[in-house]
Formats: sequence, structure tokens, C-alpha cells
Amino acid sequence: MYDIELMDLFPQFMNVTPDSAPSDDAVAASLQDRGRLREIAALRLTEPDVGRILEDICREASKTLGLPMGFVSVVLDEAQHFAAQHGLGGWLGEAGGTPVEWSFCQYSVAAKQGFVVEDAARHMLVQDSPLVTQDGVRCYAGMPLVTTRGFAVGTLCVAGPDTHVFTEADLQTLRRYASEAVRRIETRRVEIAP
Amino acid sequence: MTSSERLPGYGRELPSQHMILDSLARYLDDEEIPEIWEAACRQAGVDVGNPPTSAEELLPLVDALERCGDLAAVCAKGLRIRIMSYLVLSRSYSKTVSPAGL
Repeated sequence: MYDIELMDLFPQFMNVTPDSAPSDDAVAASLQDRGRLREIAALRLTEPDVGRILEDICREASKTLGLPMGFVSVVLDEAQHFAAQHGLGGWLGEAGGTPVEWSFCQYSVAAKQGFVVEDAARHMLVQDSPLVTQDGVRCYAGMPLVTTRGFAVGTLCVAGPDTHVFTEADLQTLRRYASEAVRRIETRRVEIAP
Repeated sequence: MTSSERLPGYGRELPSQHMILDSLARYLDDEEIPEIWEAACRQAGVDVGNPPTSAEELLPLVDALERCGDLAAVCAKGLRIRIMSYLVLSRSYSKTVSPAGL
């Protein structure tokens, strides 16, 4: 029953098979959409002050879902940029992001849907990512940040080094945090408007 | 580490000027690219005819592109992260690999 409900929520990605997996080209086309990238530019989501308004959400999401990492990833065409984060250390913190092809968040943004990975080592979309094979990320849940103009600009997500079962309550909580992140980003849009 | 080597486990290749130009070509008109590229080179203090070959030298260029705003800026931010990923990871890698014979 529980698995069926989760699959209903995320039919595209919970049980990905070679036939149902999105192609790299389809994901890239979504990420490279000019309207989406212009929205990121208009919202100035890669500027440093974004972290200040979103960090508490990352911390709360991490704490509430009981996972060590919580972050807002702005998904660009070539990379994901960690606009705000809690618990990201090492090279990830220093680089401020990763190449987009390594990211879990690209799938959430491309589909404008939540993306849940309970065991990354066995998930065909991400099992070969160096974030899994080298850095030890094992579980992930991300919700897309969809602006009022309809563009998915990034995700609010949590991740950890062990396998993890996400409950429906977890995902609802994450969705609420994502909504709050979008609300703050949109408020800032008004404040920075020329 | 030479430009043809990849970072073990990560598969990253040395970022290059071509990577930047390819990325710009995806979003900018053909006639816009030389203008923006030359302006970025000037701002970064780079000789247009003698482009940088190291990842470190590419950073001022993408920073200059980021100041152009709009799609060039978003594009440049992504490139900056790719270059930084390469630099940080290659630094970590070189620390863990001892020179032969030592």
C-alpha cells in the first residue's frame, strides 16, 4: 500500500526502468530552455544574498527529516549551484555546486516533480554519479522550486549517506519547505526589481 | 595532471576555452559571441589571441562573463562551478597521490 502511494506521487522516477527513464537529451533540453534560464537570471538566483534568505529552510528541512544535508540547488544548464545549504562539507562546499550531469536535482527540475531516491546505489538514474560512487550520497529527496511564471528553477532537497525510506509525511513537509522557499524568492524578486 | 587526463573516479577533463565558447554558442547569436568574448577577455586581462590554457586562468574570464548579465551570466556561473569542481577535486587528488619513488 505504502509503495503504491509513493509511486502515485512520483510515477516517473520511483521505479525507473530502462524503458521509462528520461533520456539524457530530454533532460538536457529541459535544463537548457532559454525561458527557464532567463527566469534564473531575472531572479538573480546565483547572487550570494540568496543564501541568507534560504539557509534557515535548509537547516529546518535537514533537521525535520533527520538527514545531515539540506540544500537549495539552483539548476543551471551546466551545473547545479548550491544557493543555500546546511551540512554540505568538503569539496562540495568549496566548489559551491557540481557539474549538472552528476546532480540528482536535474531530474526533479526537468520533470517539475519530486524526485526520491531511497537507495542511490540501486537507482539507475544516479547510481553512476560520482556523488554516489565517490562521495557516498545514498539517499535523496527533492522538490522542485516552480516560480509563479511556471519555471522550475531548482530544488529544495535533503540527502544523506545511508539508505532511507521517505514517508508521505516527509514528502509533504519537504513540499511545504519548497513552497516557502519559492515565496521568499518571489518576494525578493519584487524587492530587487528595478 | 595533463589536459588529457581525467580525475580518477570523477571523469572530469580539464576545462577549456572551447568549453566556454560552446556554452555561449548555445544561447547567443553568432554575431554576439565575438563581441562578448573580446569584452570578457579585456576585462579579465587576457590576450584574445592567446587564450588561457589552465583552469585557474579561465576563472577571471568566466567572472567577466558573469558580469554581462542575462543568459551569459547564467551560463558563466555554471561554467565557474565546473571549473571550481575540477580545481578543488584535482587539488584533493594530487594530495592523495604521492610522486613515484617517494
